[in-house]
Amino acid sequence: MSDNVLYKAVNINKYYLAKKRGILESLAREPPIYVRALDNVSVEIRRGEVLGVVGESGSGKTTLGKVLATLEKPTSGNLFFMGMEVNGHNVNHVRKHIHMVFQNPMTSINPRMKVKDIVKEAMKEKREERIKKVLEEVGLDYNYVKDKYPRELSGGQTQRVAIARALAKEPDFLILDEPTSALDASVQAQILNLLVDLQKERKLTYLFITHNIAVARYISDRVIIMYAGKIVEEGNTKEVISEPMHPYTQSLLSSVPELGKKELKPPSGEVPSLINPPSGCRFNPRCPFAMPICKEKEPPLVEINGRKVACWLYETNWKKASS
Amino acid sequence: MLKALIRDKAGLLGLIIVSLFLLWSLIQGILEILSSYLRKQYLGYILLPHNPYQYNLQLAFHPPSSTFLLGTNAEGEDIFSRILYALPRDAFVAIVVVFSAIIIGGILGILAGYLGGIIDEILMRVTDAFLSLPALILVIAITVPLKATFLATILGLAIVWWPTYARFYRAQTLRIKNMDYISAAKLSGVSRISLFYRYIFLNSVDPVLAYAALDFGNVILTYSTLAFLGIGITPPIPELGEMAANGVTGLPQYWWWALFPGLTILIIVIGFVLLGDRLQDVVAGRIAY
Amino acid sequence: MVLLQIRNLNVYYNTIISWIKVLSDVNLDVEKGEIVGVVGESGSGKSTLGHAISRILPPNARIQGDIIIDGVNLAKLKDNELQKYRGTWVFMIFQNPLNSLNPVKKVGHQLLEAVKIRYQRDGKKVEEESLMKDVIEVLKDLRLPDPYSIIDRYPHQLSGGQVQRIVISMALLLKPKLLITDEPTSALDVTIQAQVVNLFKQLNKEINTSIIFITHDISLAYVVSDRIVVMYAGRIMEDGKVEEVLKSPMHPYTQGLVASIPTGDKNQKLTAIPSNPPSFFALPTGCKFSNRCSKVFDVCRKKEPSIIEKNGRKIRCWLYE
Repeated sequence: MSDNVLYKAVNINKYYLAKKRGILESLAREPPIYVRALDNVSVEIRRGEVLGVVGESGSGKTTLGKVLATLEKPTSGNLFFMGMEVNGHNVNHVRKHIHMVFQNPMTSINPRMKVKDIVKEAMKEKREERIKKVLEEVGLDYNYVKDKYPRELSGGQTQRVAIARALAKEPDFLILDEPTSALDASVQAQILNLLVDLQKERKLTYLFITHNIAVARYISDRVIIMYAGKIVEEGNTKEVISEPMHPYTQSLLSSVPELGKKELKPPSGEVPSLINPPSGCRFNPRCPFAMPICKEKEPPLVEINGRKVACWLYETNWKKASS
Repeated sequence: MLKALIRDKAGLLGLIIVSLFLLWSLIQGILEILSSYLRKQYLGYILLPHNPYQYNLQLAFHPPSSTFLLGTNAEGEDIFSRILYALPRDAFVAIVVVFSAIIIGGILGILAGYLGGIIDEILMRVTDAFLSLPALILVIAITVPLKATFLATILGLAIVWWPTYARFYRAQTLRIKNMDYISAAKLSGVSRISLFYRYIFLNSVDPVLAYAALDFGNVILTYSTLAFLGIGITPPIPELGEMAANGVTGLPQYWWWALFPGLTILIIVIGFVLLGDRLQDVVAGRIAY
Repeated sequence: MVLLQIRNLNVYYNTIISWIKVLSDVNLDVEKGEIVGVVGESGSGKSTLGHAISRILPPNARIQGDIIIDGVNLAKLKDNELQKYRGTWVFMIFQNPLNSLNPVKKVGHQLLEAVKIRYQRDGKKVEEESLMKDVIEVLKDLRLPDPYSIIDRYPHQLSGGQVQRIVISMALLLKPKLLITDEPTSALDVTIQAQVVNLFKQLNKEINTSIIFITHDISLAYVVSDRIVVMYAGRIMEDGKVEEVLKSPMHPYTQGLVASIPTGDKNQKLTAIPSNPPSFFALPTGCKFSNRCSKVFDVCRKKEPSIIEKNGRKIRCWLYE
């Protein structure tokens, strides 16, 4: 494995029980029903890059974030962090290098703790100058915020505290799950600028999960598009967004409102069920280019000129990927 | 928060009643303890208009007057003094029972909610069992075999009281368990104990305390009912419920005998209900986001 | 032809601490069949404006001013007088689809109720069967799958997008003169949002309903609206044709909002507006945007500008007076 790869996920499946299964259900031999949140997902995250993960609800992007953050154990598959396989024994060691920023700053910070304690708790060496430094790094006035509770701060300020907490233990890898979606537009721009600066200064690697294409295009170097628990496209951000190959990516992009574009051309139909996904390619009921094979077999993720696509339209003439 | 409490007139009334009750119970209670500890009986009575044990059959069945504000009972004892003497005991029972319920219920409820699985199932079935039976009957069933003493009554009440709180804490824990700040704490490497205390317990406590304020009234009501039935009393120490029971025999002629102890119970319970109700509104507003 | 005229609208809330003024000096005209986008961040008052027009503000609110639809001043009417205007004159669609429907009644029943109201108000009496036919027609028109089985479902059995489509069907059946939509797609996925937005356009074309489209997403407002109104701290800051306002914004706040949209890649820093939207308990003196404005000068901090008209655009800014 190349030295460039920070984190590698191989054939990750994550299934959740759809209904709670207690003693009574086991006795009655009711078969368990699973929600297939992640299905055979493999991804490589390169050191120093910003990898965007784009998808709608049910795409599995949040679950992928949680699995990579070691907050959820995959049902099957392997994770390799800095070359080392992640398992029950070394999870705590791996967690020293990873942290996460969540969508809603009001629920991602303990409402009963003061700002300085929130940051202090995440630190290894709990010294005041270090707490002061990281809070100032995220653009907060230390003396103003240190004794405040989250409810006394605005959304933007609270999110900055969450970012400071994430940086407190000097991680190598940050997972950001929709970090700006709950903020006002003017504040969103401030936070994006901050995240870009922090990444450059601290040489961090980001996994940036979002449903907002404009934000993904702005901040990510590479992007993966997820649909119904699978990766459908992966590649350099500029290329994927200007020349999308997968029909889902194309219809996703044409659904996004943009200044200058008066028409939206969304795909028909609904996001599929993750309990009973459509057979074959999961996008086939909504795909304008669906062929008979699409309903029968799931297309593999193939690599074409640096782009990965999972679509039968591209499978026939090109060689398979070796991942 | 105090300001928000006071703003509502009913809440303010509740606060006044409860404060007076607790303040009096504290002072009188300390005096009673000192009096038995130092063997100086009068200490227990110095703040009272009359010695509650002072009986004088010639003064029996006196209606309310300037000397005996609330009248006298069959033994000529001053009812007002007896009521004042009995109050600390009720406060003591309420505080001990509710606090032990908060602690026991808290530990069990949070563990069940957080760990889930078999532990959770067992706890749920146990609380189901306790909650499906009428509390009063259950307390009687526990206390009477233990000779129905004062301490046995407190024990009985405590045993029956914790399931509701366990349910409360479990529900709060389930709500909090999936919050992002728990995930963030795990990533930050926060210890299990700190997680349980700082993150789960402190964030579940608000609604529990608000309910507890109301619940003090419930305990006092139940305890008075038990005393009415003769359980938990240590004669000749006066007990509000027991006084009411005896007073019933004097109805309707000697109406003051049963009425005033009963009225006292009523006022105290209403005080707690008003306060607790208002507290719940205030707390609900606080944890709205 | 003008449908809605709002004149000198002020809205006050009685809070625990004191009375606060959440809408100030709002003047707005909406033509028949026009779609007006109302854009703003949190605390802008856009949602309050929508609630004020539909007269569903909470009991601790007070309205001052006029809200005139087709000659009827809704602001001056009492609740029971308003009843005959609700639904067929003004209809509102909310952000959380499940808030718009009764969770214990089947969806078909609720749609039937809506079409009955329409016929009643028109003074016609029709058989229930033919009313049901109308409902099915509308469901087919909005391309809801399997209309006959959908009408037997309860709201919680449908997805968010489907529920919003049911609510839009209700609007199609009620045929309101004015439809107010308060962040109707914020809770929906991007692709579903696009579908629903197209349905609004369809609704507007088919029954010529005027729409007030409240949103925090400027790009979305661009797609859907003919005209756009930018609100900040309970005031209208800019009002004009959507192409003109967003291509060449005049107000510094509008300019800031447009510049905040991420474009290009991270090598081009976004020009962010500093600080945060203000709280109504602590509004700055003078122009309410003065503490964040890059073009601020002295008079901005002292006196609040009033709305003036310039080149067909309404604007509240000292730069233009």
